[in-house]
Amino acid sequence: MLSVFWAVLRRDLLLAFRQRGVLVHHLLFFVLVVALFPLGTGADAAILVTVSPALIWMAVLLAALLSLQRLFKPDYEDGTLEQYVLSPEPLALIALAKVLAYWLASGLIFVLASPLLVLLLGVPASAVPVIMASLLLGTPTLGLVGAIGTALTLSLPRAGLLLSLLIFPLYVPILIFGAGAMRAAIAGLPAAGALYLLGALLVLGITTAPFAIAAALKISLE
Amino acid sequence: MTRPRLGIRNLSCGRGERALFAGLDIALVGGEAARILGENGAGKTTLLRTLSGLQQPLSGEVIWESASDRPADDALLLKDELCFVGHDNALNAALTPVENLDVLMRLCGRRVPEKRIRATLADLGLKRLAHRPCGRLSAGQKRRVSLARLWLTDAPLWLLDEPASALDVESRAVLCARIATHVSAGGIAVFTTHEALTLPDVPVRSIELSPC
Amino acid sequence: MLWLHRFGSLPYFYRVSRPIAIALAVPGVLLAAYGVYGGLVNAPVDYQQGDAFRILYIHVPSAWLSLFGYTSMAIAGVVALVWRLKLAEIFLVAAAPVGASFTFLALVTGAIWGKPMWGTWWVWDARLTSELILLFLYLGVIALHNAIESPRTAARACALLSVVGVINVPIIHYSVEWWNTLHQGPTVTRFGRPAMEMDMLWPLLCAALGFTLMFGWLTLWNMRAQLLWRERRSRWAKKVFSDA
Repeated sequence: MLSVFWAVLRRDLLLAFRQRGVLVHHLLFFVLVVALFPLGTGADAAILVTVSPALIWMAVLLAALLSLQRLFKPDYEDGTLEQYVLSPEPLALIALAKVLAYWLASGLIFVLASPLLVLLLGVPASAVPVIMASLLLGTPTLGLVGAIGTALTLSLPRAGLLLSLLIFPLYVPILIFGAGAMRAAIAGLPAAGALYLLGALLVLGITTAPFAIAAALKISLE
Repeated sequence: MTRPRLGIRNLSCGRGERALFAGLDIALVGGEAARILGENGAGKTTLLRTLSGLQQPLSGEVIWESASDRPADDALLLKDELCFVGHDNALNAALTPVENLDVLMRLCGRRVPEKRIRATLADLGLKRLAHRPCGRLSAGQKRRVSLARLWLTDAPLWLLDEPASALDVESRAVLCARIATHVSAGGIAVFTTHEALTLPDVPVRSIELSPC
Repeated sequence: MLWLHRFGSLPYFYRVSRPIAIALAVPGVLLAAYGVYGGLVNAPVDYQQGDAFRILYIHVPSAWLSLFGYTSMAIAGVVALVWRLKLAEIFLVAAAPVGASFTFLALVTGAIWGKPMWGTWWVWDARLTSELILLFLYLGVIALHNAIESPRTAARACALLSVVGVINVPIIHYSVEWWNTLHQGPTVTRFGRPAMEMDMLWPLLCAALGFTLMFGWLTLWNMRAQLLWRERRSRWAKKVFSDA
């Protein structure tokens, strides 16, 4: 059973590596959103530090929205998805492998890029570990929840806006706890509470979302 | 040796709410092939997808009786013993034929050594292409790579949607020979085709779909 | 079981749903009218909020129905996904716009209530914010239903979405509450909830019950329309059309 998990994970990571240009685009998108923001607000350091949690998390949400649209689409178009559904292995496990590969190739990159960006916004270096931890715990959940939405909109040719309407309301808790942890860290307050809650959401996501993704994929294929 | 059996009872299928055909009854036993006949839009692909379990019938049922002694209510039975070659090739354009086939076989729960995949591709005259991304192959070459699954699988039930599309005469003959071998070894093959596919020495039944 | 089976038959449902809808509509409208009248006119003036509190007779039932509607959609969603019962699919699709309307009503009345209380139309109060997100959840279901062409697939997709949504509703509510207490501080006055006088409470209960019956009526009516549309090619639906 695990063999299929590793096979799909390896396949998708290999694909991500072969199409690494796309990953660079996602990263550039993330950087650009953050970098353009001060041009809109003015370079007042106090304002930038205040808005940085919201800014970083909104940029992550938008980048997730853009990248998630391609999560199942190629497999849907070339017929591989039918083979996933027909596999005697559990579809939820295959879905989990795909989300994990997706996260390793996009979410993890955001986590690694975040220190540079928050320092650019004038956030104190002491807050960086908490910020990275919040992204590390929050971005996989974004992928898991978002994958349900993409799976549901798979058969639609242009699902981008609809997808945002489906998944952004579900992202509210992650946004609140993620940005909340960041804000606490910047203010020098303990952020453990918010991080625990993010961790709890991640556990809930890993244990339930794959089944919802599997059900959504079957509905879209029917 | 017991033979596997595919029973179709009073089957109605449709796209959305609309029935395409109704009241289909047929039973196939191991050693038989069946060709689905019907005009465009008669529901040939829908029938294959319903047989595979991808789609639910509007009414009626599909029963798969395995030749193995696994209990018939085993939910994975059909999936375990099925090789489905759909209309699309299930090949990712950025992966090579070897990589694609490796994953496809693992998805079927079968682990095939890479050596065997390469040998099969070589037998099918695709040796030069084995490590080229599938996106750079022609339509016919892609189809042949996708069909290579039929040489790698031991599943008794084959459901093939237009297997011969984009194939040249020679490859078509190779395909026919493979299906015939499978069927005469006790397997079942159900397929749709626009091209003439003649299976040597094998009974081919017709499933006629008439619009309702 | 036989009863359920009979009710599962679509022409039968279409026939009996009409009297049921009327049976819900009449007491529903009367109760709601009585409750709202009792609240707006008869109930004594609140010693803290003056007359402004009276909007609660519309706001509270609407807010209750926004949650009730979404929960009932999710329950129907489970039934639709597990047992593939067509009526459950139709129910959740038909309930979505009705529930969304009540959610919208709750938001609007909340804002109107907020104006004299807070001095501004909108405050990022925990309950109002949760209500706003609930509206987005409703709109997501409606948009998904409109986007997918095949009615069966659309209904099943909406079923799954509402189940996922309903699991998230308490999490969203809790997180918004957490956010609110952490960052808004005590500047926002919360509505005090002193024990209500009987003559204030009674009309509220009537209004809530009346609104709920109206929810049933409107949903049932919408179900009939959805059902006819989905079955428009079937013989019984054609007969309905020719009779009309």
